[in-house]
Amino acid sequence: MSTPPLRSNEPIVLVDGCTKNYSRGSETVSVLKSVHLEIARGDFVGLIGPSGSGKTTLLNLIAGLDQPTTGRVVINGVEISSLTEAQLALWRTNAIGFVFQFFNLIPVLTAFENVELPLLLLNMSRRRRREQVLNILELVGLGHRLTHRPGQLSGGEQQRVGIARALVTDPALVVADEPTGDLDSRKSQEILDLLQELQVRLNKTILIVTHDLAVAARVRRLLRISDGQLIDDTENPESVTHPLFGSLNVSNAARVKRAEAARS
Amino acid sequence: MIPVSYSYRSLMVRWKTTLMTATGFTLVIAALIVMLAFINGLAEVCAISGDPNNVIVLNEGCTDEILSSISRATASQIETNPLVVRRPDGTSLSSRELFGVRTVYDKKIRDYVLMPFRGVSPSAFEVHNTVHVVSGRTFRPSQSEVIVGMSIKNAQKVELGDVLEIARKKWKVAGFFAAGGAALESEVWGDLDEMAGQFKKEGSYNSIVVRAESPARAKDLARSIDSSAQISVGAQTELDYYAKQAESTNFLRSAVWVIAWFMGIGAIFGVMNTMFAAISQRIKDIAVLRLLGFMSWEILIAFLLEAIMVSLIGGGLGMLVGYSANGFTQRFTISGHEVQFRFLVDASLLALAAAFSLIMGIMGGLLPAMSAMRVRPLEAFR
Ligand SMILES: Nc1ncnc2c1ncn2[C@@H]1O[C@H](COP(=O)(O)OP(=O)(O)OP(=O)(O)O)[C@@H](O)[C@H]1O
Ligand SMILES: [Mg+2]
Repeated sequence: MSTPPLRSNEPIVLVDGCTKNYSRGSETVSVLKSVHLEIARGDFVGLIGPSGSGKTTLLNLIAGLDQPTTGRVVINGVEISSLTEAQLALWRTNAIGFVFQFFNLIPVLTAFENVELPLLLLNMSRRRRREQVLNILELVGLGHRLTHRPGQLSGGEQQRVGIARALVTDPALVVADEPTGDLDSRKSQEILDLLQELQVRLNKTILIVTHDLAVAARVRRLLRISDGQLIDDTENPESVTHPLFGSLNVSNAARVKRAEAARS
Repeated sequence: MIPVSYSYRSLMVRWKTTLMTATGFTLVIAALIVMLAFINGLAEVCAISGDPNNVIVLNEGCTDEILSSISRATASQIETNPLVVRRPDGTSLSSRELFGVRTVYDKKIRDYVLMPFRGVSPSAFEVHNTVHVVSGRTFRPSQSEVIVGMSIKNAQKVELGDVLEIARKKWKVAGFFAAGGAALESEVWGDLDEMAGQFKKEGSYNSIVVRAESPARAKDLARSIDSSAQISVGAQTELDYYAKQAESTNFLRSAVWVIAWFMGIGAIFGVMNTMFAAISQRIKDIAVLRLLGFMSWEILIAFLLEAIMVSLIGGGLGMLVGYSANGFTQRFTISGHEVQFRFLVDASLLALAAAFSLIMGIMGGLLPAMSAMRVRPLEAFR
């Protein structure tokens, strides 16, 4: 599935009046309540909100992992809320890159093989696959760790492999659910530096879910969700409010994070 | 497709469990091969024992020589059949034979064993033309001499000049004969009249073997004797006769498969168990693969492949063990004849064993692989 030709001012993500309900026994839990969202091509967007507010749920709808109860999801001109499961799987391979909190690499495969996995789903020669994998691993700074297994890599390195795997199919949109949640703050900043650099160099659209204010402070556009509704939408956030510390300067966000860590 | 190396390395990471599970397959396959090689060997002896030009004549309704009795008069009538080959002097190429089984002291195992003996006239060597004396010389009539088949010689370490006591009479071993590996090699031959006297069977024979010009003529000859109105005997080509003897291995074959399946069920549950355990530890792997875009059937294949690999590793080892039985010799009694044969492991038996191993692997792997296929990726991450 190749990217359909689009006017570049058309949003790459369109979430149109989406709701998501889960039924638990007889009661119905409304997790997303009529969310409307547009994300512009090439943007770097953060999504923050309290635990259980529906961040992952929204991300899953956008990534084509789950279907909305009502509403439409249109990604890059494709209405994914009307695709079959098989179509959706192929679409995901081409259009979406995933970065996970716990890296989720396959432990028995090497860094190279982990990154190569999504390419195996595409009709691609061995040589081209190799070229593409080496290229992206070089970009994330792991050109010297090709044959290492995940167990032989540090957390930060594992996440770099994870990012390489997300980008290797050259997807238009990369989604990351708390990609720094399992890393210390120095490593978090490095991963964020990398994401930011790749976003600019490869012209990707990135949507990142985070609890980390230091991360949130570095996005170009910050969305805030609470109880299944988008309640705030800030461009170039200079400060991030925090339930404990009130309004903060972006430059202080990292310090808050450290204070938070000390508290727990 | 999910790379084969994923399945393979997952097995190697837990190599101890893999090896233990594979051992189940090794045992089943080795046992299966040895048991079938035994039957193959028996069938082989039967197959090479029949001479397509010969027709063996027994009593009407008799399937076995030992119970058959044909009078001298009947024998003469059989020999007049025009399809029987004539010598230049006009006589028929026919062998009148006496057959019996007696116990003989086996000095190797120091116990009595069953020994088939056959009383023959010199024409027996013309009719059974594969029979030839390989050492010593043939027996002389009225001298209490016998010749011993090579497989008895080898099994019981009989030597030239040894004395065998058969039916309270001492017989001296004058020579040894071979018969191209046929069942005859498991017999002791002596003079027809001398043996008839000793066993009080004068005037009748157990069987008459007559020779035809060609295998096709032999069939005609058998039919002709069989349907003759004057004599009530049963005639069949030697090929048919030994093929019928081989049929007694059919029940053995069924028994072997019953045993193999019972053992196989153990191996199947073994691989099923380890695969379920392996999958429960790799739910996250499965979820990631699904999120990346792999389809559920690709997950099924990857895990099924893992079970199949276990079965093929174990089965392969079992084939090696089973193959080591090839050529091992054994004696076995089929309908009164104790014959010697060698375990025969051939390519088709190995292929059969490999297929059985594969089927067991698939049967053991299918249920776990289907459970892997049904993993819901989002729930796995919750
Ligand atoms: N399959 C499901 N069945 C029932 N309830 C669900 C299901 N998936 C999510 N929920 C509920 O939906 C709500 C939102 O879940 P979601 O995972 O989107 O939260 P989140 O914002 O990502 O939280 P966190 O920051 O802890 O990851 C939660 O209350 C959760 O219990
Ligand atoms: Mg979440």
